[in-house]
Amino acid sequence: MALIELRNIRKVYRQGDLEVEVLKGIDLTVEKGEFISIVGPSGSGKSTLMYILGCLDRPTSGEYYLDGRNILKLPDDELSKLRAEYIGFVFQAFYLIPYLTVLDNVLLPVEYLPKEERKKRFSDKPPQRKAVELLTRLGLGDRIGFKPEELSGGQKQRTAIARALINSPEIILADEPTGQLDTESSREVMRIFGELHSEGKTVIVVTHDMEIAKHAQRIVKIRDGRIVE
Amino acid sequence: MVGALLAYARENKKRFLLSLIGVSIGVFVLTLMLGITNAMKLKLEKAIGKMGSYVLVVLPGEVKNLGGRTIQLSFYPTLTLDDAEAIKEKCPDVSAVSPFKKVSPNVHYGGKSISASVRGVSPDYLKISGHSLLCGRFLTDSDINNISEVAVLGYNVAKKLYGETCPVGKTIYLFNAPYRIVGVMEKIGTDLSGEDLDDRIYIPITSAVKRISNVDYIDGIYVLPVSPEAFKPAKEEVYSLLLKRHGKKDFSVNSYADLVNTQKQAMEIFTKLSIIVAVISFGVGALGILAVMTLSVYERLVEIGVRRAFGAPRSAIFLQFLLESALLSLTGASAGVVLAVLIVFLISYLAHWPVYLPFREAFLSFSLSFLIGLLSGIYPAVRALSFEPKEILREE
Ligand SMILES: Nc1ncnc2c1ncn2[C@@H]1O[C@H](COP(=O)(O)OP(=O)(O)O)[C@@H](O)[C@H]1O
Ligand SMILES: [Mg+2]
Repeated sequence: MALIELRNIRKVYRQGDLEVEVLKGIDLTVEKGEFISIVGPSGSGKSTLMYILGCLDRPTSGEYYLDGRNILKLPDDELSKLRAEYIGFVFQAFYLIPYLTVLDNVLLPVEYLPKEERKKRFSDKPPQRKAVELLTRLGLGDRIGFKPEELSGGQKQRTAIARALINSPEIILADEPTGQLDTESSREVMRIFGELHSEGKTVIVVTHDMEIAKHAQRIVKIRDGRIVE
Repeated sequence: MVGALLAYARENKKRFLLSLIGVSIGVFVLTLMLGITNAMKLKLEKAIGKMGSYVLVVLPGEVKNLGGRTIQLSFYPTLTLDDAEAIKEKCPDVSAVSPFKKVSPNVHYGGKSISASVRGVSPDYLKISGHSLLCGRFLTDSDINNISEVAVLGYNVAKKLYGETCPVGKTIYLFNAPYRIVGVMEKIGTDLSGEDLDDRIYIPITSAVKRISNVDYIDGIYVLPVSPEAFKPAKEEVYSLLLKRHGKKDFSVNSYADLVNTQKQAMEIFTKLSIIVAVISFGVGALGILAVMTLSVYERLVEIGVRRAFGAPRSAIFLQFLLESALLSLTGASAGVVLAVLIVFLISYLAHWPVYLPFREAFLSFSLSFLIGLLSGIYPAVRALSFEPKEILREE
C-alpha cells in the first residue's frame, strides 16, 4: 500500500443552514519518497485538503490510509501521535513563535514525539545538536540565538523547515510555503524541498502558483474541490 | 515546556510582575503569621515549661486582661510576707511558696556600677522556677531568718564580673552594703516579658523588704501546688485564705499559664487578621494569574496551534497552561516566602526568642500557592483547548 491513500474524500462546511461542500470526492495516492505539488486557484480547497492530509482535520466522508492505517477510525490523541511521528508542517505565514529563539523554535516539536520514537530518532545525536546541524545546513548557523523578528522572510521559512525536519518525519507538508517570499527566497525554499526529496523524504507542496508547482516531480491540479488532472 | 512561558514572560515583564503581587503578599502574610505564631508558641512552651504550667501567681490589687495584656488596674500595698507564710502553712495543696519583690539598689563591684535587676525571693523559688545552679548554693531558710546579706548571681552578671571562674565567696555591694556571693544560676535566657533572667541578682526576700526597701509589702507570691491536679484546690485554698486574712478582695490569684494565655489571645487576633489578609491576597493573586494567563492564551495562539500541529495532544496543552499558572504562582510565592522567613528570623532574634526559621510554614505556603496556581490555571487551560489548530493556522 502507498504511504498516503485518499479515497473519495468529501468535506462539507456547515454555516447555519448553509452547507458548503469544499472537497467533492478526492482520490489521491502518494507513494513514499514522492515530491508532489497540489496546485489550484485560491478557494479551490487546497488548504482544507492539506489539513486532512496532515491529520489536523477529519473529512466528512471518505477513507484515508496513512502508512496503511485508517486514520478516520483513530481517536484525537492517536492523530496527534501520528502527526508527531509522520508529518512536518511548513506554513505560508511561517508560524514561528516570536518570543522563542530560532533554536528553541526548531526544538519545539521534539517533546511531542512519543518516547520510544524519540529514543530511536535521536539515538545518534541529541536534539540540540541535530537542530544546530539542520540550521547550519540551511544557512542559519549564525542565527540560532536570534528571535524570529530579526530574520528575513527567507530565513524565517528556512527556520520553519528546520522545525519541520527536527523529528525526522516521513512527510513534509507545506501550504503555500513561498506565499510571503520574494522570487529568490521562493526558489531557495523549493530547492531545499527538492534536496529533501532526493534524500528520500516525501514532500507535498500546496500552492496556487504554477511556477512553484513545477519544481515538484508530479503536479496534481485541483479546482473547485475536485482533482482535475 | 516551561521555557516558552519564561520567554513570553520576559517580553511582558510588567504585566507578569503585577499578577504575582497578590500571591506574594498572600504568602508573605501567611508565612509571617504562622512563623511568628509558632516562634512565639515555642517561646511560650519553653517559658511555661521552665516555670511549671500549674504555678500560681498571687498579685496585689486587681488584674484585668486588656487587649491581651495583663494590666494591674489598681495596686494595693497589702500583700505581705506574712501572707506568704500563711499560705505555706495553711494550704494543704501547696508544696512551695516564694514571695517576690523587685528592688533597685545601686549595685557596685570593685568601684564600678553595674546594671542588674535585684529580686528578693525565698528558697522555694528555685523549686518553683525549675531552674538550677551553675555553682554554689541557692538561698536557704537561715538566709531568710537571719536577713542575711547574701546574693545569688544570674549567669550574665557572674560572667561579666568574674568570667568563667565561680565567684562564690566574693562580695558585691548593694547600696554600699556588702553582699556575699553564695551561688550562680545556670544560663536561662529571657522570660515572656522579654526580661533577661540572666541579668538578675537574687537576695533573700527579707533582706529586700527590710534592708533595702523601706516598705514592708511585696510584689507578689509564687505558689506551687503539690501536683498539676492540685492546681484548682490550691487556687481555691489560697483565695479563701487571703480573703479571710484581708477581709476584702484586694488581690488576685492567677495561673502563670493564664498570664501567658493573655498573650495567646493577642496572637489569636493577630492570626485571624492575618488569615483574612492572606485569603484576600490569595484571592487577588488567583484572579491576577487567571487574568494574565488567559490573556497569554490569546497572545500565544500561534504557539498553541504549532504545538498541536506538531503532535501535542490536547492534554499536553491543558497541562502546559495549568503548570505554567502554578509556576507563576510559585514564583510570586518565593518572593513572599523569602521576605517572611527573613523577618520571622529577625523578629525572633531581636526579641530574644529561640531562633526560629519557619521552613514548615514556608513549605505550607508554597504548597498552597501551587494549588492556587493550578486552580487559577484551569480556566486559561480550558480556553487554550477551545481553539483548533486548523482554525488558528489558517491563513486567507
Ligand atoms: N471553517 C470553514 N467554514 C466554512 N467555510 C470554510 C472554512 N474553511 C474554509 N472554508 C471555505 O472552503 C473553501 C476552500 O478553502 P481553502 O481550503 O482554504 O482553499 P485554498 O487553500 O485552496 O485557498 C473556501 O471557499 C473557504 O471559504
Ligand atoms: Mg490555502
